[in-house]
Amino acid sequence: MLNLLEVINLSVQFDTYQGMVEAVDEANLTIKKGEVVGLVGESGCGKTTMARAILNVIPSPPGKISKGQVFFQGRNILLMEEKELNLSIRGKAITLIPQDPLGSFNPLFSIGTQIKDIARQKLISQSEPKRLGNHKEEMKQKILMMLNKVKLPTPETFLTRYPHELSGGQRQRVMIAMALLTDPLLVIADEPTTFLDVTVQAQILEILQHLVREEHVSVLYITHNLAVASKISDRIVVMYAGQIVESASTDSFFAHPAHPYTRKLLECLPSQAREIKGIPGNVPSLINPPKGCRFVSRCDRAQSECFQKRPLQEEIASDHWIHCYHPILKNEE
Amino acid sequence: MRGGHPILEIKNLKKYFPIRSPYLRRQTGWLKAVDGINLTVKKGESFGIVGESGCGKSTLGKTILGIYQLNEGEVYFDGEKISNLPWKKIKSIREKIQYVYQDPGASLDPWWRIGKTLREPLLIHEQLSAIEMNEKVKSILKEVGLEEDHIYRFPHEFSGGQQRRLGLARILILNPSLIIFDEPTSGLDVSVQATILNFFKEIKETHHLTYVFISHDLEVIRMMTERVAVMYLGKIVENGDTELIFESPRHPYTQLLLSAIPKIEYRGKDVEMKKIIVGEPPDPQNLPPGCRFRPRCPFAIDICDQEEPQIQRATDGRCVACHLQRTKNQVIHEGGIL
Repeated sequence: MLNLLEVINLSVQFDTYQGMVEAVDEANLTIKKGEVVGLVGESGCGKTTMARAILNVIPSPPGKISKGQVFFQGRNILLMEEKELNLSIRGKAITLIPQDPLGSFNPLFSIGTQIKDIARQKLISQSEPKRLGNHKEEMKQKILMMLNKVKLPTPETFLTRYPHELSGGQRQRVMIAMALLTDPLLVIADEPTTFLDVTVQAQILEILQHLVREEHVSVLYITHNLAVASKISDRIVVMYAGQIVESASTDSFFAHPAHPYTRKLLECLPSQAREIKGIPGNVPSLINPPKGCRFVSRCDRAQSECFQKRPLQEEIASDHWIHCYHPILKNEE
Repeated sequence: MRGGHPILEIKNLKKYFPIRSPYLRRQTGWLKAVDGINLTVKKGESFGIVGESGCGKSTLGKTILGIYQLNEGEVYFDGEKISNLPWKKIKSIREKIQYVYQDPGASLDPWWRIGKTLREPLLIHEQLSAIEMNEKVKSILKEVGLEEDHIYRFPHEFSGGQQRRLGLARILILNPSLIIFDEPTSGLDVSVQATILNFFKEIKETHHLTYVFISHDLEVIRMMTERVAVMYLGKIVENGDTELIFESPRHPYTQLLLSAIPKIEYRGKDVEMKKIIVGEPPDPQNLPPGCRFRPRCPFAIDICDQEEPQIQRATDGRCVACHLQRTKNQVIHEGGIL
C-alpha cells in the first residue's frame, strides 16, 4: 500500500501569556491508502491540533507549526500556497467530519443549499465554472445518491429542511455525506459520535465503516473511546500530552498493549474489569513539559533515564512502535 | 445491603409539559416526559436509571425532588409523602435528598469563591457560627480530596474532575441520606472517570448514603449500581438487578441498547453477534398507539399496535413491560434483526 499521508516530526506550539504551549511534539504518523487510523487520547492531548496541522489551519498567531513536514501524496502541505490548498486540498482531497454537526451547519440555510455548495465546489475544481448549468441535474443526482448511502430515509425531503429540524444522528449522517461528496482521498473524522447516544453511535459507525470500504478512502478517526477505535480502525495511534506514545495495528495493539500509559488507560474502561483503576496524578502542563518521557510522573515503571531524555521510537513487534524505555513486553505477562 | 427498607418510593409518577402553539400560545397537547412510573429505592443501595437522551431520565430526577411540579402520582421519602408539600416543609426534605447536576462547572457560581459556595448550603439549612462554618467547609474539602486553601479559589481554576468533587462537597456538607446524580461522568476522560467513580463508592460507604444514578452510559451504570431501571420515552420498560439485566436482558429495547455498547474488538477475540438498533426514538409529542417501542421493535406482533404493555414481574424478580417476554437465547436463535 502507498503512503497517502506522512507526518514527520511535527511540532505545534501555541504562544500564550503563560508561556509557550507545546501542543504537539515531534509526532510521526503515516496513513496508507484505504487505511483507517484511530488517533486515541484523552482531552487536551493534541489530537485535534494534529488534525488541524494536517490541514494547515492552525490559527496563527498564537499557534505555529514550529517543526516538521506533512506529506500528502508526496507533496508537503505546509509549503503549499494558501490558494492551492483551498482549491485542491481542504474540503476536496482531505475533508473533515466535525464533532458538533449543529455548530458546523449554517442555521440560516437549508440542508440542500449547504450540500449543493459543496457539490458545486467540487465541479468548479474539475470543470470550467461557465458550464455549471449543465451539471445541475447531475449534481442533484449525486447528492441524493450520497444521502441514500448514509441511509437517510427519503432524502428528497431533507434538502428543504433546516439543520435544527434534524435529529443529532441525522445531522451527523448529512455531515458524512457532505464529507464524502467530493470523492476525498482522506477523511478526518474528529470525534463524530461523541454527542450521540450509543444506539445512534452504533448506526453511524456502521455506515462509516461500510462507506469507507466502498469508497476506498483513508480515514483519520479521532476519538477518546478505545472501544470505538477498535471497531473502526486498522491501526491505533495513542497520544499522550502532545506526544505519540504507541502505534500499532489494531490486532497487535489490543492483544499486547505495551506502553504503561496505554495499559493504564485500558484498565480505566468499565467494560474491561469489574474493579476499575484510575490513573493517579494529572497530565503535565504543556508549558515547560518534563524533559524526558511526559508520562514519567504517573508511571510506576519509571527509572532515572525516563526523566532525562524522551525515549526514541522503537519497534517491539512487527509494525508495533512504541516510545518507552521500559515497555510491558509479551513475555512479561 | 439487600432487603433494606425503602427510602424512596415513587408511585405512578406523571410529569406532562404543555405544548403550546406558536399562535396565541394555545395549548395544543401534552408532552409526556414521565408517564406513570413506579419505583422503589432501598436504603443503602445504588439505583440506576438508564436510557437514551430525551427519554425523561432527568425530568424524573427533578420531579422526585419537586424541582418540577408533578402532574399526578406520589413520592414517599422514608415513609413520608414529599410530593406537593408546602414550601416551608420542602426545605427540610431538600437537605436530605440532594441532586448533583450534570455539569458541575456550570452549577458553581463563577463569581463566587469556593468557600462562599460551600458556606451557602449551611447558611440556608443550619444555624452555625462563622468559625464553625469555616471548620466544616475545610474538613469537607479535605474529605473530598482537595486542599484547605482551595476555599479562596474560583471554580474555573479547577479541573473537570475536581469540579465534580466540589459538586459533591457542597452536598455532603449537609449530611444528606439520598443523592441523585444526573450524568455524573459526562464530559470526563476515562482515566478521570475511573478515579471519580471509585471516589463516589468510597464516600457512599463512609457516609452511609443511598445513590440514584441517572445516566446514558450503560457501563458506568453497570459498574456503580445494584439495581437498574431502563427507561424509554417516559416509561420504565425493564427493571431489576443490574447484573441480571445486563447478563440476560428481556425487553427488546434493553437487548438492543446493550448490544449497541461499543466493545473492544480485534482478531483473536470472540466478538459477539452485533445487533443494531433500528431508527431513532419517535417524537415524544405524538407517540405511536400501543407499545412505544413498536416502530423500532424487530419482534413486534399485532397486539403491540393496539395495547400498551403493562409492566409485570417475572419469576426472577425483575419487571418487564413487553407483550412477548423472551429470553436472550430465543432472540439469538431467531436472529436476523435488521
